[in-house]
Amino acid sequence: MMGEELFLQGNRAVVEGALYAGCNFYAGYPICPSTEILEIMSTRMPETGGTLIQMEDELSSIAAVIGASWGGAKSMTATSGPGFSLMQENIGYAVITETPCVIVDVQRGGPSTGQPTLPAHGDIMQARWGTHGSHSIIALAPSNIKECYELTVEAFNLSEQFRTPVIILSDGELAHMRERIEITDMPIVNREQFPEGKVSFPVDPNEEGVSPFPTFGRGHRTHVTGLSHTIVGYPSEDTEVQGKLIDRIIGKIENNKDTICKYEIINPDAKHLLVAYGIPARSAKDVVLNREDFGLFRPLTVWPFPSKAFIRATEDVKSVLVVEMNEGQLFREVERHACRAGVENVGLCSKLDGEMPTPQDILESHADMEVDQ
Amino acid sequence: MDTIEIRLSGFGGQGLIMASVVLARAASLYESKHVVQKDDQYKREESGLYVVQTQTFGSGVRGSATKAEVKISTKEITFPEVTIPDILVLMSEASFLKFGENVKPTSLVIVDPDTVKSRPGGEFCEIPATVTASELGNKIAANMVMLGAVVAMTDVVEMDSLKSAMKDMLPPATHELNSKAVDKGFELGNECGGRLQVDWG
Repeated sequence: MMGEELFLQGNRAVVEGALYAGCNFYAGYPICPSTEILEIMSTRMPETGGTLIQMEDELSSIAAVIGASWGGAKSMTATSGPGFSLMQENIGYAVITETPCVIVDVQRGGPSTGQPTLPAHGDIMQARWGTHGSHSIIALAPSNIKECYELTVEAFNLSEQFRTPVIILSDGELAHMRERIEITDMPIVNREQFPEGKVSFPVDPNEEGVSPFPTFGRGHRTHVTGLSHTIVGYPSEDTEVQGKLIDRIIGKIENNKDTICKYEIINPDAKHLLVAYGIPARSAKDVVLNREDFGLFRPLTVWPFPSKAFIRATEDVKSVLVVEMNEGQLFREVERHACRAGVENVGLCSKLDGEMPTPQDILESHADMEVDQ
Repeated sequence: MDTIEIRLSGFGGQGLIMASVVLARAASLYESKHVVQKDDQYKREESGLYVVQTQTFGSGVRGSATKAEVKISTKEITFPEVTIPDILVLMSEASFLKFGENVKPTSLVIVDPDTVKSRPGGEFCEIPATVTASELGNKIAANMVMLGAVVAMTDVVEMDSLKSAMKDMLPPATHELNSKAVDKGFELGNECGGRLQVDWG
């Protein structure tokens, strides 16, 4: 398939990216607008020697994905808002058990059943804080079909490297949109395996804070628990153990932001900075390509937010306008960083009706800010 | 012209989303080298055309309103949706009421006279796609009749490109019917007065 030009739908590009990354287990439950991922996987998995299970719901889907990962598989599920809500408890289980897996959230209008076929970005904060307890998470937001493919490969790579669930934040528009992409070579990362055979615990974490993965069935005892646990994996009520564990699993993401975070900057010297991710970023790019006074900061990594790069990008800007298909979820993150950087004018172009913001909507929101041009 | 915007609208089950995918695929993969005129000479651009296909549909698989859009451009396409179409195909009364008047004076408007009751105020063409497809054996091929007509009236893609994309996307057992539907649509399009010359100059 290398070098081949394909005309793909967003959901299919996610599937092909996953397979390229080595995904060999998929469990899911159909829900619009993510259904094509399950559908296409159901034909592609048998072709590539992998396993697919259509589960009875989203709770069991994410549970199967976590179990498969402990069996050594590269595993994935896809859903939309309502199903993503149901997965939250076990996403926390994947975080504390440090289980590599990929969850695709093809966002639609909500809350609840909402608009099953229309796009929204209402799950940005749910991706960050949907599961309980202190933790960090990685979430990536593609803006085009090429990125649906490439960020899925990247999601698997990051989940393997950092032993953590990684979330892809797609949406109903991108999921059903088609564009041409060229498949190019990308590096593949596989988790560091616990040494095979009977070995003594513990094996210390590497400098990134990640321990080798003790896959079931490789000759050593493995214990997996959602309880606070020691490096060996057994439960502990020791407060120091809990403190160290949470510090490390947050730190392995927050201390490695330079490796993890990806972003795009266009017109870095412009007076006004637009911040957008996902499908609305295309409208923002349209503005920036037609107006020299506007620049764009586009986080491909929404979580952890690329704060250092963003603060650098705000140097000498007069205003920052965040474009989102929600009521301003990343806006608060952007606003607090902009304030730290000394930018006073921070505005929001918010679209909540299931239509994506147009370039005109963005310019009108900026005009409403009444910033000196 | 550097960008052409196409909107197909009707109700779920007419195959307009599939039609948009076939047209977009034809432009994206089979028209990869477009011809431009430079210094009195025709030259092939190696970069190919940029194409984005989008769609909107309701929760009901059949009967609910659908909108399928294709943007074809010699430049990178940022905003993926169609604002005012250059080519508008209407196959239901509801689609006429929603999109019928949102056109430019130069837009080519095509209606299926048997599925759309109203008629646009400005110029338009009638292509009886549903009836034609029924006569060919199955009204499900009405979408391909429409595509044949669009190609005849606009040259937006080559007929060969359209047929190649159609064969990629549709089940082999339907190729004969759909091929006939495209050819018949092409004939009907040529008989129709309206034209919109697509020229990637």
